[in-house]
Amino acid sequence: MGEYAVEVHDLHKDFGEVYAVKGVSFNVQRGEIFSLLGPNGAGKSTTISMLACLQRPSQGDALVMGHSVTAVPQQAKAALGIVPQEIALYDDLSARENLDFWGKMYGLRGAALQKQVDDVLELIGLTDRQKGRIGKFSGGMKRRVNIGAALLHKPDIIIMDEPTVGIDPQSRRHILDGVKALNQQGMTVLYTTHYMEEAQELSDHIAIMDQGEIIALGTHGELVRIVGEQDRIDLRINAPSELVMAHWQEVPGVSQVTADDGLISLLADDSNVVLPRLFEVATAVNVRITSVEIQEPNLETVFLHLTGRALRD
Amino acid sequence: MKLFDIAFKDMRQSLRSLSGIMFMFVVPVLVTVLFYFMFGGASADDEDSFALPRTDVLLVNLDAGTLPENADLSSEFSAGQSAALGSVTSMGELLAQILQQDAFADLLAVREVDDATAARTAVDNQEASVAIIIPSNFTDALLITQETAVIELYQDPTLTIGPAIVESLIKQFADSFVSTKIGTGVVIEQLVKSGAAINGALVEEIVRKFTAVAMESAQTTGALINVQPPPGANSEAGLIGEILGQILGGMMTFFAFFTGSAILQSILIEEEQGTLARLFTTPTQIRTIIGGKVTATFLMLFVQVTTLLLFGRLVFKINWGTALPIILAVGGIIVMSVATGLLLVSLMKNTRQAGVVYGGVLTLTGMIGMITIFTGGGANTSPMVRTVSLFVPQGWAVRGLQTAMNGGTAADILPTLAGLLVWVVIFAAIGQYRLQRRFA
Repeated sequence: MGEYAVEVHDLHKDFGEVYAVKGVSFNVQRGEIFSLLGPNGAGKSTTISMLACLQRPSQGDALVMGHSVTAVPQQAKAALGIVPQEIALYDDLSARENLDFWGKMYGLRGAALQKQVDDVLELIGLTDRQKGRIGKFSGGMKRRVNIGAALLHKPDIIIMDEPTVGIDPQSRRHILDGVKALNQQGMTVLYTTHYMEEAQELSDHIAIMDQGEIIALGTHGELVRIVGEQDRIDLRINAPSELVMAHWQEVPGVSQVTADDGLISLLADDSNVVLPRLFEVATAVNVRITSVEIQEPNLETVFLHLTGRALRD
Repeated sequence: MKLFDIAFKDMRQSLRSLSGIMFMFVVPVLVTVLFYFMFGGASADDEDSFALPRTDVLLVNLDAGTLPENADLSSEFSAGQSAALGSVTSMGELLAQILQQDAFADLLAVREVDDATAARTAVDNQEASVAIIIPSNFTDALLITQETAVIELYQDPTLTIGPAIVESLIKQFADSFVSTKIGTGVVIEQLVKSGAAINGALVEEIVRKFTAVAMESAQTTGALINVQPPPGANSEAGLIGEILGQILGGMMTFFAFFTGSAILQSILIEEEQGTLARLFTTPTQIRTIIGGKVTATFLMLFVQVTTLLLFGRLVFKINWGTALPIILAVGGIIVMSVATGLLLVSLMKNTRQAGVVYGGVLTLTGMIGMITIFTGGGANTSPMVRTVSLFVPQGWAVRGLQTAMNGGTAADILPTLAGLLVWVVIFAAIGQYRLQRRFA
């Protein structure tokens, strides 16, 4: 067995004329947390679907713990625990009944199954609510059971597809801490998200995806270095953004200008030098700047630098 | 093993579904109970008085004929029968007396009136259910070889069972005498051919003997109205029990097809809820998943059908026939329901589409399949109706059940099962193929 838990080679997926994934390749080392970061529609979930053997690649292959997802999908599946993006549980069964069923689907039986169910219930903090029907649970509790169902068979790798979408901050914190705890126990985690902060907090390696391709891959530090020492400046003005964007683009030291919902973002070599010039230009066109925020380089800056769009787009 | 894990999970979900329970058990029972009350069960003092409502009959006897004077038949009858016949002077009177016998008192309320027009008007006004108008040449037609007569049966078109009983009685009465006419003619013809000396006295004697036999036959109420069930059929529950048996059997078949489709619809439900995709991410084969769902459907249908059979037996004393035939018939219903569900679910894109299509297709085909039940299920059903019902799988399922209920043997059911098997193989093969391809 090699050093990689997951090896992805030139994966493609097309749906007729539409290409969802275009030649994605990456490796996930054993015991690390690897994140796929990108906006909605970047191809993260399609990539995950192919790794989970839900969709067959149009081209390329992937190895999960050495098992090809195209040649021996059953072996590959056995090594994986999948946490789907949407809650995939039976509302009319209790938490324990759900875990019991999913454990059986991974081949667990008898006392071993019951012990694993007990352990997972404790891990997700729902031992006291194990007899409650899932349909009666809050969104956060459902998310926890959704994750628990993927842990029953102690998989080598757990794949989590945007597990924090649409939940409250407290549950989100609980899940992120849980991911770290699992990783500390030696589990390899492949995590997809469009939240830059999550990828930054959790990951050993990050692949940034956009439009079906990986546009950058590395550690957080490596990725940030792509944009050099550029700062990101977010501004709001009292007029339509079009009035100043073209002028600001021509200010020396400004490399990119984008706007989203009234927020104008710029990449600048030195914010101390650039910012006075931005005010001068705004005054010249009779526009008033109402707020300014300067950010150190981060993954959002990297995505903006590489694509010309904000990650939230 | 995973197959049964999936099956038991699906069964648990089905048994927790209120709508599922309603369709599987409550609705078929409610419909049957409704029919029970429609047939007078509500007014029953005890289970023995479980009977059809009485039919109001107006009898107009216009028969002007008279029995020949030398047709004194008293010597041919027992004293009781002769007394019962009393001073009958015509066949019309004889028919009137038969219809007014005590044996029919629970079924018929017969009043004799003189005016045929008034009798028809009474029926039109729903003051009576049936008017029987005996023509003036009735006696002559029954006793003289060349003569024919037409008894008019004027009935309320909204009624079926009461008029059918009256018609059956009259037909059997007439049949007795028509056979007498034929028998008499044949005997005399044969005597002539054999060269025997024929004279008026001998002919009269032959006619007298045949007439006596016919009249005795007509007087024997059992021969006329005894709806004798075949061996093993509903002798305990009587006619109503037989009718309820048909209805409950029909409802059981009708809703079994709904159950089969509803439980297998869980494939679509799970697809929409994401649990099917999650199942596919586990090391479980697609055929195991589909097999688990088919097994759940099979077991739930078994529970449903067994419950309804026991309910019918214990509450309505319905005799479903002997063990092996009813097991075969019910097995046919269950397997056919599963195969139909498999086919339908494979053709549907989502649950919204399934809801509409299932309601339409299963209701329509179910009604067609149950035509033979609506028509009574017995000899009254025309061959065309029987054939039409076999255009849908429910028709075959019902036929198997009726065969068992009518006392058929396992061998009698086998041809029906063979027909069902053809449907099952076609439906299951298409369904399995489409689902495998869809989720491959």
